[in-house]
Amino acid sequence: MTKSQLVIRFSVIDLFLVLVAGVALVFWQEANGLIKPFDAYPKLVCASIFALSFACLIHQRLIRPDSKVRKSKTKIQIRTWSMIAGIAVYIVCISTIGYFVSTFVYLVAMLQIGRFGIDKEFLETKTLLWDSLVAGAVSVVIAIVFKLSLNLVFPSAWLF
Amino acid sequence: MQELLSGFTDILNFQTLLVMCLAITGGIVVGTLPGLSSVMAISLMLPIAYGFGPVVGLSMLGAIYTAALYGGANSAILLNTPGTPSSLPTAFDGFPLTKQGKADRALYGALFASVIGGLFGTIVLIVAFEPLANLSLKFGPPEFFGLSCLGLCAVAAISEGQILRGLLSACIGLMLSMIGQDPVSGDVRFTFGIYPLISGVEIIPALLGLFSLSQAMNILEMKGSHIAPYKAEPGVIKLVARKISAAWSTLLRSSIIGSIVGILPGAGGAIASIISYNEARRTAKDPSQFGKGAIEGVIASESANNAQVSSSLVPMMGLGIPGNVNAAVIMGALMSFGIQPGMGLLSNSSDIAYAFMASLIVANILLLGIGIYMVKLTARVLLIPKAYLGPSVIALCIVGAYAASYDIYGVWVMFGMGVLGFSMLKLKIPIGPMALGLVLGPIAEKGLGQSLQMAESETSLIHFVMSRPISLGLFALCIFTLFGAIYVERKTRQAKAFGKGINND
Repeated sequence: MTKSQLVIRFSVIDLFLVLVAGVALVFWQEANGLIKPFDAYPKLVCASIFALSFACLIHQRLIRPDSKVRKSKTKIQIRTWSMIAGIAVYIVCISTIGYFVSTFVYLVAMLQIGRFGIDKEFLETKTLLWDSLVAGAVSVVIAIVFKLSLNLVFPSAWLF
Repeated sequence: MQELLSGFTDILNFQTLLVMCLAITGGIVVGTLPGLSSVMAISLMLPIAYGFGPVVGLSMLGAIYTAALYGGANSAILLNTPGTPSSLPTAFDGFPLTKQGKADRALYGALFASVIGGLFGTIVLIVAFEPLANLSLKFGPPEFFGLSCLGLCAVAAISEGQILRGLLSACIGLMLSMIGQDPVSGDVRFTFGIYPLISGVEIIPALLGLFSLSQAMNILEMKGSHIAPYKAEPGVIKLVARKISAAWSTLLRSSIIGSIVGILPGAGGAIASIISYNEARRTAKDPSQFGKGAIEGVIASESANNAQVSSSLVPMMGLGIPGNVNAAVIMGALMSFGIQPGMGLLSNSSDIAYAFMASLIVANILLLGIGIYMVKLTARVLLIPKAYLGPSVIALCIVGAYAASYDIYGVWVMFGMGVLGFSMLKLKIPIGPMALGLVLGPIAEKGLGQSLQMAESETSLIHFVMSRPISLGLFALCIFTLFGAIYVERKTRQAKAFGKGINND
C-alpha cells in the first residue's frame, strides 16, 4: 500500500453514511422497547442499514480514484441553500398568508433569482412585468385545475 | 362469449363512449400531474358515476383507472417525476431518452406498451378470473414478505454499478415506512414524540418530494435554458411500432408478470413494473443500455403496469376482496349500485360484470387514439424554459402534497423528502430503491409480522417457510436476482476494463 492510499479523506458521502447509521442506531434503540415478535422487522431493517452503511464506507475506500463514484464530490452552493430556504418560507407563507399571494410572490422572486448566473439567454430580455404575468397565470392555472375542476381543498389562511 | 358480446352491445353507444372519452382525457391529465393519483380521480368521480347508473358509471371509472395509470408515465418520462408509484421504473430509461432529445419515442413507447399490456390484462381478467381468484388465496403472509423482498432485490439489482448503495437506499425507505402505526399490532412507534408522525410518512407527499421536488431543484441548478432539447421526430410512430414488434418477448413477459402480480391482493403495480423491468434487463442482449435510455425498459415497465390494472380487479370481482385501493373504490361503486362483488357476481349480475369487462377493452382502444393526440401536447412541456418550469413544478408539488394529505404536515413531509432526495442525487445514491422501500415497507412488515405469529405454532420460522413452496420459490428468486446482479456487474466491469485495455493498445 502506497503512502497516498493511506491518507484518510472524508467527504460529504462519508458524513451522510455515518448519519444514516446513527439514525438506524436510534431506531434500533426504540425497537428494543417493542413487544415480540413485532420488534423483529424493525431490528432487521436497522441492522441491514448499519451493515450496508459500513459496507458502503469500506467500498468508498476501496474503489479506484478514477471511478465514477469517486468523482461525486458535491459543490453545495449558496444558491442551492437559498432555494431550499425559499421553499420552506413559501410553505410557511402558504399556510399563513394564503395560496394566491404567496404563490404569486414566490414565483416572481424565483423567476428574478433565476436570472442570476444565466448569460445571454432569452430571460434577460424579459421584464418584471412579464415575470409577474407568468407568475399570475401559473397561480391561476394551478388553482383552476386543483380547486375548481377537481374541487380539492387549499390551505386555509387569513388571505384568500 | 355470448355474455361478453352482449356486454359490448351494452356499452357501444354514443353516451357511454363520450363519457369514456372524457374520462380517459381526464385520467391522463390526472395521472400526469404530480400528486394526483388514480385513487383520487376515481373517488372524485364516484358521485358522478352513481348518477350515470351501473354500466356507464363503471365504464367511466374503469376508463379513469386505465388512463390515470398510463398518465403517470408522461411525467416520469418528461420530468423524471413518476405520476404514480408504478411508473417508477419508467423514469429509469424514459428520462434519459428525454435528455437525448428522444422524448417522443419514450412517450409513444409507453403508450403502445400500456395499451397492449392493458388489453392483455383484460383478456386475463375475462378468461381466468374465477380460477385465478382461487390461486390468489394461496398467497399468505410469508409469500407477501417474499414478494416484497423480491421487489427490493430487483430494484437494488437495477442500480447498475451501485448495488450496495441501491440496497442502502431501499433500506432507508423501509426504515422511513416504519414510522407510525405497526401494520399488525397497531402500536405507535418511531414517532419520537412528534404527534403528526403517528399517521406515518404518507406515500404521495413522500414520492412527490423524492421525485418532483428534488427534480425541480435539480432543474433549477442545471445549465442551459431548457431541461432537454426537443424536436418532433418525423415518422416516430412507425419507428416505435417497429421497436415494439421487435421487443414482443419483453412485452409478452411483462404483460404476464403484470397480470400475475396484479391478481395478488396488496401486491400493487409498483412490484409488477419493477420485476418486469428487472427481467427485461436480465434477458436483454445488451443490459448495459438499461438506465441510459433503452426503450425496452419503458416498454417492460408500462406494459406490466397497465396489465395489472385489469388483473387487480380479479380478486375483487371473483372473491369480493379488493386487491388494491383502486379496486376498493370500484368495489364501493359496485356496492352503491346494489351489486354484491364476489363469487355471486356472475350468477346475479353477469350482464353488468361482462359490460364492465368489455368496457376495459374499449377503454384501452380509446386510450390509444386519445393518447396519440395527448402525447403531442404533453411533449410540449419540454419547450417551456426551465426558469419557468422549475418554480412552477415546486408550486405544483406543494399544492399537490396538500391536496393529497389535506394537511400542511403532508407538505412538510414532501419538503423533507425533497431535500433528502436532492442530497442523495448529489451524492450519486439512487433514489428509486428508496421510493420502492417506502411503498413495499408496510407489505413486507405485515407479511413478516403475520408469518412470525403463524410460525409460533411451528418448530421454527425457517421450517414454516420451507413448508410453503411458493414462498420458498420467491426467496430462491431473491437470492438468484441479487447474486445474478452481482455477477452481471462483475462481468460488465471486466468487459469495460478489457475494452479500455484494447483502446490503450
